[in-house]
Amino acid sequence: MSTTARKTSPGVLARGFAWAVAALLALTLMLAAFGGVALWALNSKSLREKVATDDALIRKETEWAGQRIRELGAVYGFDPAPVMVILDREMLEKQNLAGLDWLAAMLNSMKPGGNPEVDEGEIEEKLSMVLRFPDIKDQDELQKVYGEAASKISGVIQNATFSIRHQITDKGLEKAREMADVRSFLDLIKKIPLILGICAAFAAGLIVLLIAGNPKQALKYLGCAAGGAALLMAVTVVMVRSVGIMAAVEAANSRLAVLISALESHLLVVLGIVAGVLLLVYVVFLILYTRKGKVPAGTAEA
Amino acid sequence: MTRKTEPAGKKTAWAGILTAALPGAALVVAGVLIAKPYILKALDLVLKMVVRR
Repeated sequence: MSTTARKTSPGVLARGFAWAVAALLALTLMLAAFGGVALWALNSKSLREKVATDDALIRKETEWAGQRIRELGAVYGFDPAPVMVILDREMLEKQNLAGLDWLAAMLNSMKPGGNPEVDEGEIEEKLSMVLRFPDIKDQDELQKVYGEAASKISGVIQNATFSIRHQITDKGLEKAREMADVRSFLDLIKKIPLILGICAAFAAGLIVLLIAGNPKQALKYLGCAAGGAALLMAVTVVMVRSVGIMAAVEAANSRLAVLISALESHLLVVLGIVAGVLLLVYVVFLILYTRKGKVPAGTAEA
Repeated sequence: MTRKTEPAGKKTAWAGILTAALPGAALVVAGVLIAKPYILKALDLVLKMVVRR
């Protein structure tokens, strides 16, 4: 029996721990990626503009508001066809953007926001040119009916572009601010991607230490953790989509569902880019790891 | 005392990425499946309260 023990380097225990830390690193990287993208989405004006001008969203809003205006026309006795010109794309885009700005400001500050800042005068001015009641001759009645119908049409347009009952969110936020230190909580939430990034760096350092201080061998574990994070991102997206959130939103408000769908498609592109970068890290690290002649003899895992 | 090198290559690459991803994936799948009914209930409540029809 030979007295020389054949051992792998690094040892089985160290490699086992390194794989465990790599799995933890993959999870941390995935959470950091989602957190970072969410934070970016919350502060990105360009994303809000893209969603506000989305073709499918404008089409849905025009269709919904048009139907409501036709119903109001039947009730108040005005011809809905000329009134439809107020549903122009530019105005709807402005209203959508105001609603999304309101939502971003509310989520960023957790302060009651009141109404979204929209130019109601623009709608009223346009209505004064097209809203006519051919069957009403009495001036007093005409004024009364005009005021009611104009207010309802204005409400329909606001409802088409902004689906949130802000009075309820404002009350909820006021209560939450009375009960807890919302500002500190919010500050902490915003720092989570950074904290996760630091944890990821710590885990990466731990892997290097576990692999006997040879950074080249650690590349395999670090690369696999990056690739694993990309895989985890895909699994998480598939699982979250399987919950049926969109179906629930669609049942509650079809315009909101189209808005969320537009937001989701833009976010998926960004998440795809992040996952692509992680996969690139995986490939590059593994290529560097498997390159011949660089690992000291006797310690190579290649 | 001699030290044996660990064989690797394409196999290690695939096994490695799966080893790193599987525990997290299991956690995500289990978490979503367990939380799904609660998420939908909470969402339904929020949508009823906050969203206009």
